[in-house]
Amino acid sequence: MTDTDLKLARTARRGDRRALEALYDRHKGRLLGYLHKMLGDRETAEDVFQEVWIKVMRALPDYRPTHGSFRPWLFRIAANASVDRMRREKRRAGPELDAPAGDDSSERVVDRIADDAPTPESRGIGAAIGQDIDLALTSLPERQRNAVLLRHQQGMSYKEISTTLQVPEGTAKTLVHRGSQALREKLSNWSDE
Amino acid sequence: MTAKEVLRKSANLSIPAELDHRVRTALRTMPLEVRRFALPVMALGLASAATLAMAVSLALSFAAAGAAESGVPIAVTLVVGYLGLSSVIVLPLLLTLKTVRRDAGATA
Repeated sequence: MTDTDLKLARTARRGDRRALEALYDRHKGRLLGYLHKMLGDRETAEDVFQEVWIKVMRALPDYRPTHGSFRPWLFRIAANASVDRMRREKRRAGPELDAPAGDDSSERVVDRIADDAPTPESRGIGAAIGQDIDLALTSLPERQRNAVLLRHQQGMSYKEISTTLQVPEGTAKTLVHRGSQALREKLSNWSDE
Repeated sequence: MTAKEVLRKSANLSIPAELDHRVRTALRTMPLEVRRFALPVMALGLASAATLAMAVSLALSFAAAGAAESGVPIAVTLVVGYLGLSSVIVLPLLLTLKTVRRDAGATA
């Protein structure tokens, strides 16, 4: 998979659009899956998905196969694009969502919204677990959410995660561990988690 | 079902036909920046050419110096002239060639 990606990326760098399209076909589904969970909204994910491929076209001449395989490079562009989008959305929503809620300064208004969501019992079990995971994910800090998704959703190695997030491998492990732990705590009402 | 299993199941989504069409159109038609010459290769080529030209120039100069007493000033003039010309002509050329924008028609 990596070898094919590298060959295709090298060819695409030279201006071969068929190679670029082949790369798109190989990664489109996983990229959209990642963006959907990262952004928590299908419509926004599709919008950012499109942005990412335009950025890939622009950044392709700077892609160096020697610096790592194509997938972490692609997901780095996607991670940056999704963080940019989240920050833009947050600014648009106003600073009040990010403000401390009540006396407990560690809790934000946006977190309380997530906590006030319907309980699993009040919804169908199948839909509820998916929605609870989405809510739990969106309440994680950006870097932890990224690390958890890259590891547990996309099945990346710690090395790939460190390349994607541009952090040392040890930091990648810590981010995944802390993110997973936070996710477990938030989903503690699910006995089998 | 654990959260990890749910996440794994959501890893690969199908792309709606309209979105797929939009992205493919962009991939096929948008201008694609192509680096035609890798900078290290260019630098190596340039250095080789410069060294060769310098060697020829020096050989000619010393041959001239051997032929006449006024040969040394001629040699110095040739070397300085060569270096000056290469910096004025070759460097801007190098920068221009670094990235070549290729439009859609050229590669489609």
